[in-house]
Amino acid sequence: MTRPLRRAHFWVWIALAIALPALLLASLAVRRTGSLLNPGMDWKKSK
Amino acid sequence: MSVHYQAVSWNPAKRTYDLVIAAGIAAYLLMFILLGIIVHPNATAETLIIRALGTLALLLIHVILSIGPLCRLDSRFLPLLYNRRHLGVAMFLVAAVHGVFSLIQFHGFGDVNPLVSLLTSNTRFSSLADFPFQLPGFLALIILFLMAATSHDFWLNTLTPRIWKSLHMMVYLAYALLIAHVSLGALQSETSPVLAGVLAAGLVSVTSLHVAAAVRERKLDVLPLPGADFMEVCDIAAIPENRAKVVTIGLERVAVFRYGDKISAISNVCAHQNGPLGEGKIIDGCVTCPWHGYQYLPESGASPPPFTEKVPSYRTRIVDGKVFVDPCALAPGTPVEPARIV
Repeated sequence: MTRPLRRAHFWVWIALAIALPALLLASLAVRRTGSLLNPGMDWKKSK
Repeated sequence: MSVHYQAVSWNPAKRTYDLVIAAGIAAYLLMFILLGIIVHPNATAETLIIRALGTLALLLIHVILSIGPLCRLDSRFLPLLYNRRHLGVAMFLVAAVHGVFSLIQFHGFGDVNPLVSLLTSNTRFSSLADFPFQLPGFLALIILFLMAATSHDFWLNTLTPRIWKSLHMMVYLAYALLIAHVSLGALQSETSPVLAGVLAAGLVSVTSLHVAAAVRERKLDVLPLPGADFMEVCDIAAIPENRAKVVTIGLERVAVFRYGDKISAISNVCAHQNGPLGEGKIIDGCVTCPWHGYQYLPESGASPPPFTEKVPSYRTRIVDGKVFVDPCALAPGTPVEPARIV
């Protein structure tokens, strides 16, 4: 690999090593806990 | 390495590699679907297929991205690199089938064109929880398609190595898009910690391997800039027979080969895909790249006829058992008299 490519790889992976775990953690933090979008709806009646 | 372009230059190693890929893919899909039927008996066949293909594509891209740094850290992984492009094409095909099934399942039964529906049905870009996660997956698929379509050596030569390499480095963007696709999609509805745990483990593994390999490479680059004179690079004894010592001179790496009573130096960068020539060995009188077997004459850096690849060569000198290299690279393929070990 040429030196410019080696440097590009280094900085790309430093950036990804910071950004991707942050994205994963953020997505887990905003995850809903399983409650229904329409908690007032009676699904048995709808059937 | 061949004189004419062929769809695939088959050999026993490639056949074995591809058979292992095909068998692995089939076994994974079968196991996932069987387990899915047991764990989620109410899931539809389409849902199981979409999940099986999606998780397989995610697994494959982690394997593919791990091969490069593993080879930098330990040469025993080099056989995995040899036919990595077939693994990449297989990964694209799996991801494409996942995309097509998903498009039909989630966008194919309305009165809007499925692709238009994919691009316009959800525009909540400001919400992480409701983000249109299918878009990053779609963009990743386009990148993977471009890579798969240009993976042949014909495109490497047609596009030039610089453009081809830039295009194929977009796999890192595709990986980031896929992580976004899964984090903002499946992870939002999947309450089991298994998917999140496996994704986190894969992410940490791949990034750690790449950062470790990159840090190791950077250490090798820390050397003083060359002057105008020959630079002392190592003792003769430091170079194994028919092997090379890789040294950094100025901005680039040079592979100094010892063969018989001769010492020659050529660029460490293979003209094919930038493979590390200095980690290869001399076979049948030719420096042989450890990645794909491209060969060069150590005296000139030119491939033996009828091949046309060339890499820069360097003048060498031996003084008191020490090897010296002229830091000025010669034009690719320039013949240079090897230094003689007396």
